[in-house]
Amino acid sequence: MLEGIKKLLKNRYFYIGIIVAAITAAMLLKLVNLQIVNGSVLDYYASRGYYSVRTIEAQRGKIYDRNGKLIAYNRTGYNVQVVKNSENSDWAKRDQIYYNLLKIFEKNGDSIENLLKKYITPEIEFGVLIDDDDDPDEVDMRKNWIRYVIEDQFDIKYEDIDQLKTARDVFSYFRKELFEISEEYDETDAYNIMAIRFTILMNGGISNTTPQVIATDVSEETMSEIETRHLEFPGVSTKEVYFRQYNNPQTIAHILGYVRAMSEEEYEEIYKESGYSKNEIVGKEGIEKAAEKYLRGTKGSETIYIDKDGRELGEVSKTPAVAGEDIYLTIDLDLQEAAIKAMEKHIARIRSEKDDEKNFGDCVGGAIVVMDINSGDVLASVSYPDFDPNIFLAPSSDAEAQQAITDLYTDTEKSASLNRATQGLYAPGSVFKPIVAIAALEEGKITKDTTCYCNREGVYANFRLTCLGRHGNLDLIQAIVKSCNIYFYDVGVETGISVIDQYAKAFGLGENTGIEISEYQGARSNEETMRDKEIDLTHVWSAADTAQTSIGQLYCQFTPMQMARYAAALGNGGNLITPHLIQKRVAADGTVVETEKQSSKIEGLSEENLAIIKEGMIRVVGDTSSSIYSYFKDFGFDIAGKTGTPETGLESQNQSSNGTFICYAPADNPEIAVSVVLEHGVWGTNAAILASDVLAEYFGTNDSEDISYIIDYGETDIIA
Amino acid sequence: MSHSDRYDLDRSKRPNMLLKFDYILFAAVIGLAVMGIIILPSAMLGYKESVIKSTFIVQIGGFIVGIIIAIALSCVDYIVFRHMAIFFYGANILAMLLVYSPLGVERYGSRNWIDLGITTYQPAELMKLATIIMVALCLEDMKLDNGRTLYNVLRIGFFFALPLGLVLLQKDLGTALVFVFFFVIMLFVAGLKMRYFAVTAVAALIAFPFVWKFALNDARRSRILTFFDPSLDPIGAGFQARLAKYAIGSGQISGKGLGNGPINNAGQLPVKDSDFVFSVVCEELGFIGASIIIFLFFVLLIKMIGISRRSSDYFGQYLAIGIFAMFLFHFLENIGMNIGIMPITGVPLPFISKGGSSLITNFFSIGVMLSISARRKSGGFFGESS
Repeated sequence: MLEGIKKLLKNRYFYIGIIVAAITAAMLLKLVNLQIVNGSVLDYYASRGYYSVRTIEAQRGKIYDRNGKLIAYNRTGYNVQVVKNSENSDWAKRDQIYYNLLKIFEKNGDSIENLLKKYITPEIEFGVLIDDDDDPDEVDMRKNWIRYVIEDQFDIKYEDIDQLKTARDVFSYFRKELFEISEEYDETDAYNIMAIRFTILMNGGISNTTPQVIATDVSEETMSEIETRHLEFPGVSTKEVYFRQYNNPQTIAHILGYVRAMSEEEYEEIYKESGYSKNEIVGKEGIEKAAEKYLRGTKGSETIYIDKDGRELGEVSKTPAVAGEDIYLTIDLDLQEAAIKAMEKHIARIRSEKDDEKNFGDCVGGAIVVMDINSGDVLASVSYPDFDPNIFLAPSSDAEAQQAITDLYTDTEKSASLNRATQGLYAPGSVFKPIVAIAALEEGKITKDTTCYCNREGVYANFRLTCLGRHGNLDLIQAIVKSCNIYFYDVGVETGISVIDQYAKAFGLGENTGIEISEYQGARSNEETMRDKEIDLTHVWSAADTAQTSIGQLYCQFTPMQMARYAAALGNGGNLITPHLIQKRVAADGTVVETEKQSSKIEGLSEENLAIIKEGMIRVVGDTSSSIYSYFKDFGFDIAGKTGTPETGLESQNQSSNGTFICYAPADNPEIAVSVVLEHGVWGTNAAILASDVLAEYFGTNDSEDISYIIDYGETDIIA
Repeated sequence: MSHSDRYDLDRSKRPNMLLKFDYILFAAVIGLAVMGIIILPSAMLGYKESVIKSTFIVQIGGFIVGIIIAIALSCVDYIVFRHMAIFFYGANILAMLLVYSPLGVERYGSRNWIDLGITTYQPAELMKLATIIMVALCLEDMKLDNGRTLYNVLRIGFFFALPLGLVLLQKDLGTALVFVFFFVIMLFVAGLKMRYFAVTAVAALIAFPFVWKFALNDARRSRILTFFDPSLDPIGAGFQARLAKYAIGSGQISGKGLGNGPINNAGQLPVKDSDFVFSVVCEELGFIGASIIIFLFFVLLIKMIGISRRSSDYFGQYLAIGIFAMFLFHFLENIGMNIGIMPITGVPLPFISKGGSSLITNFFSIGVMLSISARRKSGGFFGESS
């Protein structure tokens, strides 16, 4: 007997048998526990409901201007959403529910979310994403799309797809084979039901836990009707959600940017890691994008008890959402509006002065930047033409808004989506001359009294370069005032390109400014840029290139923001400041974070030399002989400015030159720096006149009657 | 030395199949498959009618084809598999690699299916059997070939590690665990010294962090973590586990009746035609239906232990215990995760879960089992062993 047991214990099969027996016993015990001991309790839960955790949206931070004027905020609206439950578990039942919902939407003028219409329109034609011609590529694309839609629906044969030629074929096939929508519905209703189901399918399919949105931002009437008739709509609920709203955003469009649902790629590449969910609304451009992480806030969550129909029975626990931080911009909306009005006014004026010699009436847009000269606060930043960010907030069913979005990105003539203040790249023209003067002065190549003789033209490395006038003998100050090219050709060549380039860089030209929103770096005119741009690869940098660079031409490509920063550095004693648009952030709990002001002293600039430049620039504006004298005479203080009329190289094709202007004011103890660029603005003086209006608004010297100059542009064709 | 010297079975004589056929084992399998067909319409509640219809036809078809394959294989001497082992194994390795070809399909976050046009097929299904055959073969050689231990150890290691590596590359944790499980059981029965198991256990503990980091995807990790702390993922895996618990409990003794389970009707159970089919059984057929399935598996598994024990040769012995271990793991893991005693990983319940190809594969293994059984030595369960 003992032998037998010993033998048994040595037999490994014995242990395996024990394991099987133990597992079986454990399972039966657990089942007894669940089904018999706790059966009635669990049955109660099963038939009554269960816990579900849902996220609570955080309210996006508001955006104000520097004086607390509200620009962006949120309003509450309602989405209609659906989950699957025991009362709508089959397709036919849900179709009936969708049909009844559609009738409510129709009555109240609400529209459904419709991803189908880009493929098949409500008129049962192929939508924009599918061409119905017989081009083999198009046919393939169409087939691939159909395959994609029916993926994993294994009862559909791929051979069938080849038979589908017209949009109606596809629609009928989907209706019959894929969605099995009853014949009882007429075509319009069947299409709308299919659109709802297609949209749900593309967003991951109907689910018990994650509601699928059928319609966004429905009317109050629809919301209350669905809620009062909720017994007819099992699984359907309305949800209060936030919608972004903008107050008169057009004037500040490029700075504000806009919000929109993220794309699939953006989700995968950028937002997934930061805990966003698919299709969430995010900032796409401007401050909305730049400050996304501050604006978005923190989502909350709530555990709710829901019955088997998906209806809430009560809240168990809740972590409230934390609203995003409010952003206060450095922008002064009044100044911004005045600047944009001045821009419109002067564009209209310049166009009306068309002479077909220099002015071809083609002035279309430009940029204005007004910057606090010490802090770098951007007080106004205009890019014109502008656009209305509200078009991005409109529902996808708003055809007009969708068309406006398409136009915005396809109208290359206007390029209204471009933020010319930070992304527009322009040759500065004579505005660049103070850089050359400073470089030459600092390097000891010239003094204030160095003179030069202007005979209207000069030859540099076998290139004949001209001046706009025959200025005769002039010194540095006179050269700045008269904007004599010959003087700066000579001084530039004498100073050398590398020194000029070094000073241009020190003043932040062709360098990123560090502003919060998207900006382009542009380029300084030097050998490096030449190699990138010059088609003639054998070309060697010559004195003629240095000469042209010295008057801000050739390869110079700067943004108006860079030019304003440069003007500020000229005026504030040589401090290069980082411009910024966010003044402060205010968190939901009241914590305030002020943007840190950043600036750095430009090395090797002497006060005396800056004073010489200042003297010249004061006289550019203030000399009684100056053509812009009359526009600046009433400020009661000096203003230091410089005009530029950079050639675009297209003058021979009847296009006007650009107009540029930089200034800081008052010249003594300056407060602000301004830069203006007018595309095809004909003369720098036009940009200067525009700047005078902006200065007048800032310094409050424009009396109220002056407002009356605002022309009614309704009749004026500003934009060609 | 020829192969035939190693066997005490007289292979020149065919066994009397009517007498030697393992009726009990076969009955248990038929019983399980019938339970599967009974529950299938319920498990697909809420699906499109055309899908239910076609799946049902596939399942019945798989059932019939499976029975034919099993009976046919029982008549074939399993020595065939010894001779064909390397080809069978090689073909399956190739199929495993096909998932990386354009034929490969991604499902549920794992790329481990291939599209055969008419149906999709998971190559890991037959790979399990092929690996068991290969390991059984090697173990037998090792037993008989005392002089070449190192060679045989390396051979086993290679033939086992290759498919396991491929499965891990496909991030199919459930299947990888099946591999490890049957390998351990096979070594155990082959008489590997207990201290080696101890060493391996320590090695596994050390390897764990690496497997955790590199071999598992986020979904798997969260499922395992959630098993230990359901609050980590209250709407994901923890939610599934809780719903399964409600569904099972609500069945009580006799169940709600086919098609009447409230949780099933609400469409709340995930993958309820496969991973969570047992919850549907519990909800609708109650404790009675659930314990019938557990009982049938118990009979099946105990019969398999007996077949291994009484096998005429080492190959049959190891092959049988390998197949046993494969079924045991599926049984333990699938029912275990349904009732909440195991973490959730996606393994189907053999013969019950939906899927024609896996049904046929399972019947194939049963056919091999029946073949070994028909060529067994006579004797009782704890009788004389070789």
